[in-house]
Formats: sequence, structure tokens, C-alpha cells
Amino acid sequence: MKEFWFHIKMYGALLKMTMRSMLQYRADFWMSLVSVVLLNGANIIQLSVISWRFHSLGGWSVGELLVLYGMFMVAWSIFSIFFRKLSKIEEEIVNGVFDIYLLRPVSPFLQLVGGDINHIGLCDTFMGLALVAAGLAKTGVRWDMEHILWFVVFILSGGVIVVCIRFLISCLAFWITKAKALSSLFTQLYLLTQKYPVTIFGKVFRVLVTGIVPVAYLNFYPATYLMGKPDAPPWLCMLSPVVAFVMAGISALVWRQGMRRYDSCGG
Amino acid sequence: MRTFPAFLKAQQRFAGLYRMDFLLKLLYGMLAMYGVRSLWVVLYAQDPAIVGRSLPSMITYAMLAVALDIIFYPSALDAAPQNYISEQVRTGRIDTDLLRPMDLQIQLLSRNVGAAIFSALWLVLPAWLLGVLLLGMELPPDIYYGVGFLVSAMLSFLILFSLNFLLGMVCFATVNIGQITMAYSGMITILSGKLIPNWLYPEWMQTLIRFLPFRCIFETPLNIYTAAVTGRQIPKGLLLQTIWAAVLFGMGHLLWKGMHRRLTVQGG
Repeated sequence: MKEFWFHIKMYGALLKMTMRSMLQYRADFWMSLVSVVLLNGANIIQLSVISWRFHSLGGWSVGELLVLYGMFMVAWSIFSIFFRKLSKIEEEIVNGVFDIYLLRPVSPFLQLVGGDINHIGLCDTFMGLALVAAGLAKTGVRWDMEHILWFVVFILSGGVIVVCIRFLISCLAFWITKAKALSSLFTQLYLLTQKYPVTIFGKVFRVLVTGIVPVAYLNFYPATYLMGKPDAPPWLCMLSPVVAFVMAGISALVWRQGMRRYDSCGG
Repeated sequence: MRTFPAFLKAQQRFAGLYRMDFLLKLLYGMLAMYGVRSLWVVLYAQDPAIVGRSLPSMITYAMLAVALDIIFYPSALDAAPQNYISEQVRTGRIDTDLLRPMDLQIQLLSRNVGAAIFSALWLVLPAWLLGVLLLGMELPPDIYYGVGFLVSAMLSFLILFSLNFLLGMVCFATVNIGQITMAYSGMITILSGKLIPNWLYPEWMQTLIRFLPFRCIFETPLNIYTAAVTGRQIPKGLLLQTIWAAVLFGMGHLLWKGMHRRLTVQGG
């Protein structure tokens, strides 16, 4: 337990240090917000045009689609704000920075994630929340306290899940040195899940994004539960924290295994 | 003219380095094609009248758009002129490009064509084949449409290149083109018929799109392939594409000439 608090304290110290250096170059927050809107604009327009023409997509109205899209963004932003470095393990290994972590008496994991905080990721959070709000306004669904609590649980679990997925993919760097190509394939998987209710892609796809790469827990299952859709049974949606817990466990195991196997690129 | 194949070959060799990469990219393409296919299958089931054409024709349109997109946005991203220019300007290496005894626009075109041919052969051709065999993609009705499509796709490429080059020219004025690039690619995505077939837009927007070059990039070749236009309309479509390509390429050429003069003066 004492060790645990030590780690927490060290993470805080590292974050503080990083924040201080980030503030030196205060990148234009508003410009980044514009970028996020532009990057997602085409998808939002596409979804709006489709639901304007066809009234719905696979039984989901435009408001529900916006909630779906927005929740994905919010959960995803947890990764891009705090854990972005996890996808750069390969780089750190190749250029030898990772070896430095091993020399210091603090967990290499903490040094990796503590060395980076990306306030620009907040733009995703804001836009995601705005889309969820717009979607709710559009559908006229009102969330009570219980819904809001579940929303928070879903977002946090979704955050853990996306962090673990990205982490596990980049952990492949311990085994194969070129893991980058894989990530573009996954990008397509994320995109399809983010934009559309996964029910339209058939059973195989649904099993894939539920049980193997559980990205559907970022938005599809949460939105199904919160918007009261018949697409999935409630218990399957409420499994979200369990899935997050399992993913975290797997990640921890893999990390330890990888660390044991790691010998530096240079040596 | 001999330099052109040399650039082409260099680009091919470069792209060939990552074989594993390409296998995964093929899977990526297939997944993307499967995605749009499922989307239109569902939408067609909801209301065939709004889709406005047969289901096979619609999914062929959508999947071919994905395939063309892979050629047009080559995997070696720095092959795209705007990215290449912005990178070279940022790092200050653009002078080595200027030292070569060849017009910058032609240099970049060769680079881009090289990457595109590579992804066309190794990525899109197999993806298209698998699409036809597994995903129910149609073939063009006859050889006339097939050839028409190929010619049209090449013109599309030239139009897109010219637009990208114009965007690259902006780099010389402002080093950072991040937001402009995003707005630009968003515009192409929305207005070219790639993501949303243009006939689904409201009337006023369709009119607007008719006067812009973007629809020539995706809609024209896709409509030829799926025989959504009659055989008589094909030459008309190709002519319009040629005009846009000539105008945009020419604009890029003139702009670059002016820019080059200024650069030389500044550099001493």
C-alpha cells in the first residue's frame, strides 16, 4: 500500500514537471479546437445528410448518432490527454530513451506516461461533450441522476479500455520492432465503430469489437443503454467496467512480461 | 523526359521497403470497403427509392470510392505535393529540390504518380479483385465504360494533384498549413462524392457542387464505372475533367513561376 502511494506521488510530481515545460509553449488552444471541428466536420455532415434523407440509420436517429459519435470522442480523449506516450513506446525504444527510464528508481511505466500531458486533447473532450449535448437536445431524451452517473462510469471505463488497447498494440513493439503498420488497420476499426451503430456490420464485426478489440464499449454499448435502444441487452452494456478491469489486468501482465524480455536496442 | 521514370522508380523502391505494411494496408482497404458496403446495404433496405439506383450499383460506387481514395492518398504521405512542400520548406531543404534541373511541379507530379502507381498495382488491384469476388462489386458493363473509367480516374488524379499543388504553394506564404489542409481535405471529402453521393444533397447544394471541380475527382469516374451515365455522356464528362485539370495545373504553374522568382531574389 505504501508503495502504491509512492507511485501516485511520483506520477503527480512528473505531471507537474511536464505541465511546467508545456506551459512554456502555450500552443494556440483555439486553433486546435478549430482543427478538431474541421477533422470531424465531414463525418458529422455525412451522418446528418444520411439521417436527413433516410430518417435514421439502422434504427438510430440523428440525435442518437451524435451521442454515439460524441461519447467515442470523450472516452478517446482520456487517452490523448494523459496516455498519448503509450503509443510512442516503439519510438522510445528505438531511439534509446526507454533505457534511461530503466536506470531511474521509479517505475518505467510512470516515467513514460508522466512525461507527457497533452492539453490539446481537451478539444476532443469539449467537442465530444457538445455533440452528446446536441444529440440529447435533438432526441428530447432527458437524463436523470442515474443516467449521468452511468455516463461517467461509461466514459471512465471507455477511457481505460482505449488506453489498454492502444497500449497492447504498442507493446507488440517488444516482440516485433515494426508495430506501426498495424495501427492504421485499427484506425479503420475505430472509425467504423465511432461513426455507425455496430449492428449494421453483422455478427462477426460485432463480436470483434465486443470481445476481442472492445472498442464498442467506448460508445455503442453506453449509448445503447443510455438512450434505451433495443440493440443490446442492458447487462451486456453494464459490463463496461468489468471489461475495463479485465483489459487493465491483461495490460499489466503484458507489461511485466515485456519488461522481463526487454533488452535494449543498442545492446 | 528520361528523369520522369527515374523518379518513378525511386518512389517504387521506397514504397517496396515495407511489405508487411502493405499486407496490413490491404486488410485496411478491405475493412473500409466492407464498412461502406454494410452502410449502403442497410440504407437500401430502409428506402431503396432514396438511394436511387440498384443495390449492386450503389455498393460498387461506394467501395470503388474507397479504392480510389487509397490511390489518391498514397501510403507514402510525403509523396503528396502539399505535404512534401510543407516538410521541405519547414526543414529548409527545399533548395535541394530547386537545384534539380527540372520544374518543381513536374518533379512533384512524378513523385506522386510513382506512389500512386505503386498503390494502384499492389493495393487497389488486389482489393478490387477481392471486392469483386467476395463483396459483390460489379464490373463495368462493357470495355467502353471500363476504359472510360480508367481515363477518367487518371484525369481525377491530375485534378487532385493540381489542387494539392496549389495548396502546397500556400506553404511558401505561410509555413504552417495545418488548419488550411484540414479544411481543404474536409471540403474534398464532402463535395467530391466520395463519402456522400452528391445526388443525396439538397437541390441548392447540388447546384453549387456542379460549379466546383471537386465532383470531377470522385463522382465522374465512379458514375462512368457504374454506368450511371449513358455512353454518350462519357466524352462530355471527360472533357469537363480535362478542362478543370488544364486550368488548375496551369494556375499552379503560373503561381509557382511567380513564387520562384521571389524566392530566388530573397535567397540572394
